[in-house]
Amino acid sequence: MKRIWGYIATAILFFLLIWVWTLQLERSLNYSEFVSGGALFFVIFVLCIFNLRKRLPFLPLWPAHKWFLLHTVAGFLALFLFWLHADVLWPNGLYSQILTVLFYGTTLSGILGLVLEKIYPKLLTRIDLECIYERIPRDLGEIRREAEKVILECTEKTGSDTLAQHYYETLGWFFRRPRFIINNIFGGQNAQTWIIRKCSVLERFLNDAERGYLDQIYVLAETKMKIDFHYALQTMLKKWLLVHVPFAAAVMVMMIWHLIVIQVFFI
Amino acid sequence: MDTDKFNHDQSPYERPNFPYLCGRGAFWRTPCNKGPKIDGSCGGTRDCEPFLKENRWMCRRDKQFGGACVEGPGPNGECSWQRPPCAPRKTLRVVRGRITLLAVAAIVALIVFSQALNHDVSSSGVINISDAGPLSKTHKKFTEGCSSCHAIYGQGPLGWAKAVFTQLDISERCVDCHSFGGPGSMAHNNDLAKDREVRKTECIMCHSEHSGEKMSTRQLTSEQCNTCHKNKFESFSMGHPEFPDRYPYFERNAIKFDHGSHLKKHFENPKFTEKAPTSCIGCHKLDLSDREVRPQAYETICVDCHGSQITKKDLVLVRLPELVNDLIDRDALVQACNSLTEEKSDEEFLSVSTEMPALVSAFLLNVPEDDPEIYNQPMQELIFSMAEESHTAIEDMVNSQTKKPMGDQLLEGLNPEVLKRAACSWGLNLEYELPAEAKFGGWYADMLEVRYKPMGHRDPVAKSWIEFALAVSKIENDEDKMVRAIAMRDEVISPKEGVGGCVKCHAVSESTTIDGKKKLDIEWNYKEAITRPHSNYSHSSHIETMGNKSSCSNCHILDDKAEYMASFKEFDASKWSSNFLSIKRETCVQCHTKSQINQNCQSCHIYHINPGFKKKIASVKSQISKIQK
Amino acid sequence: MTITTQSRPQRWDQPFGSEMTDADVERLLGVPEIQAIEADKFPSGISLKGILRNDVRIMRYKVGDIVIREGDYGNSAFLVLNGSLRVVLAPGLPGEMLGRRKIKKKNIWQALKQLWNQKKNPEFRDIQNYNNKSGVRESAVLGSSHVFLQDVPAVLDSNKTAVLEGGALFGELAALGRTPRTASIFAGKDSELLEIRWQGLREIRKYDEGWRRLIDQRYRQNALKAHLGATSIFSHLDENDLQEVADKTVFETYGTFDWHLSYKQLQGQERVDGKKDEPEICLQGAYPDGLLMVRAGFARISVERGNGRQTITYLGAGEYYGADEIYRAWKGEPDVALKVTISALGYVEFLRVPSKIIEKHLFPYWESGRPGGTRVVTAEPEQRKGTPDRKAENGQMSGRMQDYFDQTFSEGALQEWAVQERFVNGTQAMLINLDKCVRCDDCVRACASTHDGNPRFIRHGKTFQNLMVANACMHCADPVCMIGCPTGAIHRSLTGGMVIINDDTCIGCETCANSCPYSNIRMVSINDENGKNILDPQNHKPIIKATKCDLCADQITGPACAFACPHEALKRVDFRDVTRSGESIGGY
Repeated sequence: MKRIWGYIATAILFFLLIWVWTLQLERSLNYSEFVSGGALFFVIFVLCIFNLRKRLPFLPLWPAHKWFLLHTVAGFLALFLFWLHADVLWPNGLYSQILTVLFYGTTLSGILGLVLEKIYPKLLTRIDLECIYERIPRDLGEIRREAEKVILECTEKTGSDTLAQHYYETLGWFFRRPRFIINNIFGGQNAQTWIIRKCSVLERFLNDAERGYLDQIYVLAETKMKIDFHYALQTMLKKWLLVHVPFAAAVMVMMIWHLIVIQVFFI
Repeated sequence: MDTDKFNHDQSPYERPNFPYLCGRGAFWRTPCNKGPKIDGSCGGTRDCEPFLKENRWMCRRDKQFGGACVEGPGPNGECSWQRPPCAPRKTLRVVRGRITLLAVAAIVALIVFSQALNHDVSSSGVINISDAGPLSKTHKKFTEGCSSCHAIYGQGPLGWAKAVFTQLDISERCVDCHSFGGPGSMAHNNDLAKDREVRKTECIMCHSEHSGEKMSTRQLTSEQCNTCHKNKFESFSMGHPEFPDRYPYFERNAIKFDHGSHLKKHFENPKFTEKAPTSCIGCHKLDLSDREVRPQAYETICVDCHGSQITKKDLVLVRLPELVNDLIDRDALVQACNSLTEEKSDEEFLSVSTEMPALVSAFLLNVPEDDPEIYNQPMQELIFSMAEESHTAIEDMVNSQTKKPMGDQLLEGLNPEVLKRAACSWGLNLEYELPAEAKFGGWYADMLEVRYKPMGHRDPVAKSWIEFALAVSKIENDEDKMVRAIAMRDEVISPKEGVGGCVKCHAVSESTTIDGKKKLDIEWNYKEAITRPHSNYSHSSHIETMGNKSSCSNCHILDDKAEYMASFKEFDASKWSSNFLSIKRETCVQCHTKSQINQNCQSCHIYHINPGFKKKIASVKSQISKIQK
Repeated sequence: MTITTQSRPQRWDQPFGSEMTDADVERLLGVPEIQAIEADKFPSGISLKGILRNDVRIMRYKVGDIVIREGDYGNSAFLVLNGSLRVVLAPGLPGEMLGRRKIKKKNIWQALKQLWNQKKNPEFRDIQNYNNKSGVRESAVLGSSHVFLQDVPAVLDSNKTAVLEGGALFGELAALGRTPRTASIFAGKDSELLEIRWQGLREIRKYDEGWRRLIDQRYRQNALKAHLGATSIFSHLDENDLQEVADKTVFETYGTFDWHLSYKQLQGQERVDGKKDEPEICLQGAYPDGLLMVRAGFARISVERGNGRQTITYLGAGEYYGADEIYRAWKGEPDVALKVTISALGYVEFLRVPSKIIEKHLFPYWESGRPGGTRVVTAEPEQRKGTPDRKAENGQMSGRMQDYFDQTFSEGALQEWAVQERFVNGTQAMLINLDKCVRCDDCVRACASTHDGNPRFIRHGKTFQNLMVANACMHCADPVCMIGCPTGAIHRSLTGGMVIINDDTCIGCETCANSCPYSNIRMVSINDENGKNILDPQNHKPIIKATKCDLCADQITGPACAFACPHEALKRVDFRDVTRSGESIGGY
C-alpha cells in the first residue's frame, strides 16, 4: 500500500491543478472544456499505452508493476476528469451518450477487474492446489480416467456394480467438465456440499470394500473440485478483460471522433 | 492423481502466445499431446511419425508423452494412436483481440453509416452520430437543420477537412437572426470601455445550445463580471458601487405632486378624508407595476379633490381697457351690431373700463399694456373688427404668431356671437352684461372681458393656449414682443391664475432643440419610466413578497426637507428636489445579501441592449404587397 | 498385494567407458602411475581392475581438441597416457574459442527488433547457423563429441601455455572439489588420455596412499593457501602465518558428490527429519573442535527443539561457524559446548582450522580492533531490532546471532522448507507470491518474447503456503547440472554468473536435464520453418536440445519475467535474502 500513495498524491495534485485552472477559465468566460478535455485526453492516452507496454517487455520502459499502479490510479483520475469535463453525469446528445456509456463501461469493468485481482488470488492460494489454466482439460481428463479406473476395479474386485451405477447416474456428471462455475465465482460452497451429499447417499448400499473405493472417488472428487474452483476463478480473471479492452478501444475511437467533431463544428 | 508433475519429461513448456488450443479440450475431452499446428489445423491426428528402420516400423512418440508405444505402428507404417482431427479453438487472448476489433469496427461503422445517411442538411437525420443533444424549443421551431448554425454541416468530408483548418465562429451565425441595440460582439452590446482593450464577446460564452428544451444560459457570478469591469467587487453586498446620487428620482416629475404636503397635510385634513386614498396603492396602480408603479389617471385619483379647481380659472382673451378716446365709427358699429343707434354724445369720452388690456391681446396686438396712448387705437380697431367680423382678426393674429397656425386649436368652440356681442357693447362704451353665469364652460364674454372657461381636465383650448404661450415666448425676433410674450406666458401658466390652473400640476420644462435653440414644453402626461438599458427593477415581485400595504415606504422615504414645489419654479428640469430621499444600496442590502436573498448580478442587471430579431414581420408584409402588384 | 521386483542396481551397471575391454585394462595396468597403485589394498568389491574397467575410459584427442575448459564444472580427472597437451595460462582463452557464445547485451534497437522476431513456429532453429558455428567434432562414441579449437597455432602464439606430457595428472581438484576448472587444456598433438570419473578417483584416493598423498599435496599446494588467503578472516595474515594455517588445516568432505541423483529419488518418498541422508558433521552439545569453513556445498545448522531439529540457518561457500564457541572457551568460560548441530546438505566440503591456530592467529587480531577485525558477539540475548543483516562481509553468521536462535517455529518455517527442498542452492530462484499472482501468464509471455517466442520456464512448482518456487533455473551456487556435460555447452558465464546453455554446442544428451534436482531444464525438439521436427537422418528421432532460463543475459532489462509482472508477484531471489531477512512470509 505504501507504494501507491505516491501515485495517488500525484494524481490528486494533477486533478486539483486542472480543476483550479478550469475554475479560473470559467471565471473569465473562457472555454474550460479545452483544458479539462486535454487533461482527460492525456490521461486516457497514458491508460491506453499500458497495453503497448505489456507487448514490449524487453524494452527498459519501467517495471510493469509500476505501470499497473499508474494505470489504476490514472483510471480513477480519468473518471474524475471526465466528470469535470462533461459537467454532468449523463449528457445530452446521442454521440455524447455513446461515449459516456463506453467510458462508464470501461471504468466499471476496470474497477471490477481490480477487485477480482485483489480478492481472487488469495482464494486460489488458500485451497492449496495450483494448476495452469490451459492444462485443466488434460487434468480433468486424467481425473476422469482415474475415477473410471477405480470404478472398474471396484466392480471387478467386489463383483457389485452399485458404485458404477451411482457413477453412471449421478457422480459421472460431476467429472465430465467443470461444474458449479457461477457458485465458485461468488465463493460459494455448493460443490463441496454436492459431493458430500452425493457420496454419502450411497453409504448404506455399500460394503466395506466398496466403501474403500468410494473413498478413493471422494478424494478424486475433492481434487476435481479444487480444479473447478481454479477454472472458475481463473476464467473470471481472464474474461473480465474481454469486456474492458474492447470497451477501451471503442472509447478511443469515439474519443477521436469527438475531437474531429469539435474541430469541425466548434473550433 | 499427482497434481505436482514438474519433471522435465512430464511437463513441457506452456506457450501462452500460441493462438490455438486443442479442440478436444474445448469439449472437455482429453486434449491430444501435440496440440494444434501454427496454421490452426489439428496437429494431433497421430501421436508419431513411424520410422522404417531395417524393415521394421518403429514408433517415434515423444518421450514426454510416454516414449515408444507398446502397440507399435501398423504393418504399413500407420500410427496405432490415431484420432479424427479436432477443430482447434482460439485462445481467450485471440478472442479478446477479435472482440476489440469488432467493437472498433462497430463504432467506425456507426459513424460512417450515420454520416452517410445524413446528407440532408435540413434535418438532423437518422441516428446522427454527430447529434450533440436536443435543441431548445425555439431554435428547433425556427431553424432548419444543423446547417442553420453550423455552416460546415452537410458539406461532406472535404468540407470537414477544410473546417479543421478554418477558425469557426458560431457566434457570428447567431447575429444573422438576432439583433441588439449595439454591436453583437461587444460586452453589453455597447462600446463602454473605450479606454482599454477588452475581449470580444461571443454568444456561446453564456448561451449553450443542445442542452434540452430550455436554452441553457450561464448563471453569472460577480467573479465573471469582475474579469472585465474595472471596478471589481465581491458581491452586491460587498463592494458593489453605491447607487447614484438621486437614484431613482433622476428626472423631474411631469406632474407636480407634492407627496409631502399631500400625505402629511391634505390627506390628513378631515375635510378630505373620504376622498383621500388610504395608502400608496390608492393612487399607484399595482397591476401596472414593473419598473415603476404608475399612478392612475387624473380622472380616477385626482378629480375628486381637484376637479373643481380647473373650471375656476379662465383665460382672458380680450379685455376692454381704459381707452383714451372713442375712435370707433358709431354708425358702422351700429350697423354691425344691429343695435339701435344712439348718437354719439359729444361729451368727453370717459372710458367705462379702467383696466389694462389682456396680456394676450397685448401680445397679439404687440402693444404695451400699460400705455393707453399706444394701445388705444389698435384696441379700438380690434374691438370694431370683433363687432364686424368677430374672430377673424384675432384668428389672423393668432395664426401669424407661430410657424404652424394654431388658430383652430386656440379658438376652438368660439361662437362668433360672443365676440360680436361683447364688441358691440364695448364699442358703445358699455359693459357687456352676461345673462347668466357661464357655468358650463367655453367662450363667453362678461363685462369687460372675453374669457374662456375650461370645461374640465384636459380642456383642449386651455392646453393649446398654454402651448401657444410657451411656444411664442421663445421666438426671439423683437425684444419688446418678447417681453409681452413672456408676460402673456407668465400669466397663462401661472398656477394660481393661469387658464385651468394647468401648470399648478403640470410642469413646464426647458429643453434644447436640435438646432441649439431653447424651447419650453409642458408635460401633459406622466413621464415614461426611465429605462436604463442594463438594469432592471421589478416592483411586482418585491410587492408580492413584502406585501402591498406599507411596503412602499420601506424604500420610498419622504424627505421632509425637500423643497419640492419650489424646484418647479425654474424651467430648468435639472434643478429639482424629489419628495423622496434617494434610495441607497443599503436599503437593498437589507435583504439582498449573503445567505439571504440572492444577490447575483443577473437579478438586477440585464446584459444585452434591446435584444430583438433582424427581420421584422411588418417588413415582410410590405414586400408581399409589392409582389402582388 | 503384488510385489514388484527388480534386481538391485549395481554401482558398475553403467560403466564410464562402454568400450573398455579387458585388453585395455591390462594395458592400463602397465602404465607406471597405475602400476604404482597397490592393488591388494582395494576391497574385493571395489577392485582396482574393476575400477579400471568401469570407472575410467580412454579418450583420444586430435590436435586442437579442447579437453577441459576454464570455468567448467567437471567430474573427472585425466591422466596423460601419451601425446602432449597444452595448458593455457592466465588470462586464458576467450569464451568463443571454447565453444561458448559470448553474451553481449542487446541495445535498444536490437531489443525492439524482437517484436518482429517472434517466430510463429515453436522452437525454430536455423540449421544453417548450426553448421557454420558449431565447433563440435562428431565422434563415433556417443557422448564424447569434442569442441575443438579452430586455429591452434594462433592460440599457441598468442597465449602462454604449459605443456603436459605422459604421466601428468590433472583435473582432480575440480573432480573431487566441486569447483570450476582453473584452466583450459587442449591437445597440442594427437593424444591419448585416461579419463577417470570421480567415483573411481575417490576409491583410488581412499585406498591408495600414494595417490592420496599426491592428490592432497597438490590440493594444498595449488588451492588451499590461495583460498584461505582470500577469506576475510585470514586476509590479515602474512605469508608465513598463512602457510602455517594452511598446513594445519584439515580438508573434510561430507555427503555424496552426486547428491542430486539420490535427492531426486528421495523426493518421491516420505521425508523424515533428514538424519539418514544428511550426514552429521558435529552435534549440538559436543566439544567445539576447530573452526569449520565451507569450501563448497551447503551445510544445515540446526538446534534441538521438541522431538525434532529446527533449522536456524545454513552455511554456503565461504561461510564458517565455530568462532563464537572457541572464543568463549579461550576467554575462560567453563564447559563451552557447541550450540548447534551441523549437517551436510547433500554435499559439503569443509576446511577445519584447528582451535589452536584460531586462538593464535585470529582472536588477537579481533581484539586489537584493527580494521577488518570483528568483535565476536557474545551469547547474551539481544533485543530483536528489525531485520538481521544479510550475510556479513566477513562471512561470519551475522552480528545478531541470537536472533537466529530466537526464531519461533512459525518464523523459521519458510527456511525449514527451503532448506529441505534444497532451494537454498539457488541464487536466482523464481519466487512467486501466489497471493498477488493473478495467473495472467504475463511472465511467461515476456520470457517467450525475449527468446524468439519460446518460453524458458513453466509457471508451476513446489509451493509453501503462499509462495511458489517456479520451475525456472535458479542459477545455483552449486550447479550440479553442469557436471557431466560432454561438450561444455552448459556453463557458467563469467560476466554475470548465470548458468547458460549454448544452443549451438548442445548435443541433447539430457545429462543436465536429468541432473537438475529441481527439474528446471527441459529438452525440446527443434523445428524447421514449417513447424516440423528436425530429425536425425539415421534414426528419425527428433533432434533435441536442452533449454532453460538464462536470466535474460542479453536483455537490457534483466530478467523479463520479473520486469513484466504487473503485480510484483514474481521475483528472482536468493534464498538467503528471503529466509534471513526476517520479514514475514509474502512480504518480501
